[in-house]
Amino acid sequence: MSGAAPDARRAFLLVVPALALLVAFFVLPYFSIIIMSFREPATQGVHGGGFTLANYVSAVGDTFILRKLGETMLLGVGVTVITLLLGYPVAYHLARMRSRWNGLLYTFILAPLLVGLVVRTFGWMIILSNGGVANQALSWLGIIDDPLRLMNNYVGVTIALAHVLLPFLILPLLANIQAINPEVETAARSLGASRWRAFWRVTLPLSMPGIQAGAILVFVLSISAYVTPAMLGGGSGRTMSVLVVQYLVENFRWPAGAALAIILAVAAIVTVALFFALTHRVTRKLP
Amino acid sequence: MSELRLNAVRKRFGNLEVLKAIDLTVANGEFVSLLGPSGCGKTTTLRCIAGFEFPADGQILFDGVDLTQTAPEKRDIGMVFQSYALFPHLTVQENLSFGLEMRNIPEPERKRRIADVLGMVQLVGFEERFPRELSGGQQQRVALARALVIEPSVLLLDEPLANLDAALRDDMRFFIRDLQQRVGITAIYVTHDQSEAIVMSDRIVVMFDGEIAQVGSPKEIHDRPISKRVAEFVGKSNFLKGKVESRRTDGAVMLAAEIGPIHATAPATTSAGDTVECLLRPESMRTGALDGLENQFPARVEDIIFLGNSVSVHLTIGGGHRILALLPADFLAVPGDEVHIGFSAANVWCLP
Ligand SMILES: Nc1ncnc2c1ncn2[C@@H]1O[C@H](COP(=O)(O)OP(=O)(O)OP(=O)(O)O)[C@@H](O)[C@H]1O
Ligand SMILES: [Mg+2]
Repeated sequence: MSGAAPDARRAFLLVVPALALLVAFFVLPYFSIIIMSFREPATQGVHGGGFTLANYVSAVGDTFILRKLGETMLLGVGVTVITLLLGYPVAYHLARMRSRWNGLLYTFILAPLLVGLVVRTFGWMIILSNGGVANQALSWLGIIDDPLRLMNNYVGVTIALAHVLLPFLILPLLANIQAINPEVETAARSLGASRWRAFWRVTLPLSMPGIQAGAILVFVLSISAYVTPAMLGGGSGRTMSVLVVQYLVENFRWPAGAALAIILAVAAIVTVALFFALTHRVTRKLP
Repeated sequence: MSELRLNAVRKRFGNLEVLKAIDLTVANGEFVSLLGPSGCGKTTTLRCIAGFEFPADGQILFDGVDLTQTAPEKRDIGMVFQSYALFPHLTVQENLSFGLEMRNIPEPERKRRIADVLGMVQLVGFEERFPRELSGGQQQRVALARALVIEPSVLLLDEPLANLDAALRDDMRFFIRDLQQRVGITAIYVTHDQSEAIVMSDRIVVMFDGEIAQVGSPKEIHDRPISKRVAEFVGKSNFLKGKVESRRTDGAVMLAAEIGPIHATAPATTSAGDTVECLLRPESMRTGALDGLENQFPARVEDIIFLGNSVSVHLTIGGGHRILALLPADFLAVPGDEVHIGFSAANVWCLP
């Protein structure tokens, strides 16, 4: 009886460092951004004296901002869908096959994370530019006459983000699929399900927690990415994150930039919540 | 319900020949066990029958129809796994419904059949539970119900009791056997537990290293094994070496054994003059009233282990030969005592 309270206190002590870190590096900065977003803009100094809703009102009323917000969300969804389609089979293969190629496959998956962000993005510029490797190869094969515009729009940003974020989808999914008893698929087939139906009715619902974890990571990371869209997006492929930095650094409009950042965060939370609601039905029954 | 036939089925994984020409016929409604040590190919045989592995060679026939290369979902089998393999995201009802939905059986009939089968496995009232909310034994019964509700022609079970504790395992043996008899389904049961195979099966297939060593009734396998290896695998054994002195046409032989002259039984291949090794099961030894037993020897008790319902006794007979006897628990002796033991000629089996 008397053991419960000291135990709980000791357990609490264990989380104190993590909690302190969280407050110092996550909650406080967010808090200051929220406050900043309600400050009055100013030309002399970071912000004016009073508080106002004007930053939000003007952002929400600005069709350019709204369009950028929509495009950013679409980019996030696009990258998530692409990584999911590419990553699921890889995760499944790694989880289920005993192959000597698995080690090599792991290396390939993690490779994008081992190269520095700027270097990797330069690599994509070399490949995707108008005179780049991709266009040269395609025209040499006779598939295209004029170079495709793969850079300075969302195409390049999507490709490069999908490349670097693929491991964030594969790794949680891999752990999830590894934890599924492979015999449940065998059982489904013994009960008359084709390979495809066994996957659809059994494996896919059971791997939904992994899909959720991976998809949310990829989505959040792609809408908040800065370097990749800044280097590959050009003018038309500018995302909200690029815009926010532009506001803060180039135009020195801190309150307005903060409001954009908060709007982006809220939109992300709403999208993730929607995604959860959609997939909830499947995961509800999982242990 | 149907008859199953394996014709010279071979299977290899890389360089490893896992099944070497397996021939087997299982009659309609028969309960056959595949018994053998770990790695002998029992699961592989079952997976070939189910269609999860395809033999390199040979045929698998269901009621005379060659289904060797047919996909598992088109084979009309029911399967029970050691891990149960219940669908964790579905309730008991939904687990049972799965196979029926795959067969496009309409809802009212699905409901009726599920209720019937749940009655058979004594799980009425558990429809809405998830597998994680059931005990191991209950999960096992759901797995059984899920395989039976689709009314397959063959039921395949791969060590279904291996994860249960000893007492429950004993109950489930009879439960499964009884259920199989009531449904009248052809069943193939994989196990490496000889006592399980003996109490449950109509016939036992003993496998070693991808080959069938012997096929026979539990009694044949137990009392008339074809080799020392089968004898040792199927139960505790004493082996007596000797030379056949004379042989009658009914198989009764006189043996000059190391422990002295004994009456024994031999297969047709054994003739006078052969040197043989005989199997004497510990449980076929008697003390006390020895009337009518052809072989009687004085013996000295070395040690006694109390097993609850019986005692395991080490004896020395015939000048220093140690031999193991399994005797009723009322055997009252202490190490050092001289006793008389006896065993019938029918229980001394000369290995071919
Ligand atoms: N997919 C596979 N790839 C390679 N070798 C395999 C594969 N499946 C089984 N084997 C090998 O085939 C042999 C027979 O395996 P099997 O699973 O049939 O044995 P078992 O009799 O069921 O054994 P246990 O009692 O341990 O379950 C083993 O040596 C095993 O290592
Ligand atoms: Mg096995």
